[in-house]
Amino acid sequence: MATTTTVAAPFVNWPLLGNVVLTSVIIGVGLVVAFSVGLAGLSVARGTQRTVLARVSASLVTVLVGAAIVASLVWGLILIIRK
Amino acid sequence: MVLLLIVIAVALVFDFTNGFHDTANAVAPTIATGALKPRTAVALCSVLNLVGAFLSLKVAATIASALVAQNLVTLPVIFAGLVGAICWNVTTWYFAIPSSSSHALIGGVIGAMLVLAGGHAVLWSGLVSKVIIPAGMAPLVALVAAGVAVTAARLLTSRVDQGVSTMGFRIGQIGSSSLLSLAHGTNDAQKTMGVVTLALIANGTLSADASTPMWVILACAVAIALGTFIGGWRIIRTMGKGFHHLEPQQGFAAQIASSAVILTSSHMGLPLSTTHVATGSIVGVGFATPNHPVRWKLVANVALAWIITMPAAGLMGAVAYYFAHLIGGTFGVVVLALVAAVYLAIIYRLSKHNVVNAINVNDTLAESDESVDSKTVVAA
Repeated sequence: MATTTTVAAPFVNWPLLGNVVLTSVIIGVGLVVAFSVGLAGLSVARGTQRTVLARVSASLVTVLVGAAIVASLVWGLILIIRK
Repeated sequence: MVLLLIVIAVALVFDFTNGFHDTANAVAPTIATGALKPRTAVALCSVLNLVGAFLSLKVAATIASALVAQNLVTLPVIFAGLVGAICWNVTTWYFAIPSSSSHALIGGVIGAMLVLAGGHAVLWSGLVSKVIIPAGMAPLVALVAAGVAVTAARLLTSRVDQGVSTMGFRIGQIGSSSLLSLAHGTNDAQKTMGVVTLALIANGTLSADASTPMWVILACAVAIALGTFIGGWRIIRTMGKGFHHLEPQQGFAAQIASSAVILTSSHMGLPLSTTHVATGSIVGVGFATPNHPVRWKLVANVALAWIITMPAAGLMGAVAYYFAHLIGGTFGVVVLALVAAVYLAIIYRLSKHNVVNAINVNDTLAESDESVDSKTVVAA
């Protein structure tokens, strides 16, 4: 004998809310950390007491971090537009 | 047709007030830390709000379908809801309180709907799950995200020369402010788009499952951008100078955290208030910075204003609908529109006694300011 079961939609969509919280915190903190690392790298690169190797590697870190920030922003916008 | 045109015009007025009321959310930290000049910051914000309005329509769909029974909505209801929201927005602007335009709009529409059809016309579960719970969580999420972010930034740049750090974060703030402006345009212009779409559906111009027309998107984008360009200087001063003394590092962290929360929630279709998020972030960076005094009395006053925003706008919307209905027809709506216009003119006139503009926006709030009690300033 076949039976049917009705499942009520949850009053609060906790998984969705949790997803918003987690994603926001990860993206927000990640971008600020990336920028701060870039700034610290830039500061090292500008330092007159540092070796050439340290300055070059710090510049490299700055460029990579900057590119990562721009890429993540562009990716975020593309994600929104596609939705 | 005349009624529909009036409703669309009032909706665009609401969008305009939404723009100038919420300019502070995106630019207050940028202006307060001196990263950009006030006029430049507001102009940049205005352009990016315009762009942001075209990026997503998920929240518009939520407003139109998840909060009230669409088949019961009439044009006078939408009109009254908008009048309630506009009046509350302008009142809070006068008192320099950063309240939520979104909640004012939702409250206004629900208040009018309650008078028309009673409680069964409101989708209470949608209201709780899509508006009230996210509203409670938004400032807390932003506070935590911004607090963690500013702590990480402080630790990572502790050995960086102070001048380099200040300059770097000020430059970063131009980017973070731009991102936040974009996020605001993406999130907030949609709400008016949702209301105009609802009006078109109620009038029978669009079918119930129709998407938002391009001209609606364009009109709403332009209205919110113009409102933003005017600059709600009173609220900018409260958010930039009221809660605590913002440093560039804090401003940057607050704005990035706000952007992340707003863009994420907008992407997932949750109508979060940008005001709640931006305020939560600004308070969060102050809270997370050692030996940095935060004006908790002001924070409490603003939180109280958030709690009463929806009921107050709802009451205004209900009263507007009641009298428009009492007078009857399009004439009733026209009379109420004139009454609302007179109220706005009075508020504008009163605001001239204590002008806040681009020149004095960075002045520290006076101790006698009714919204701030400096004696209650405590160390975070």
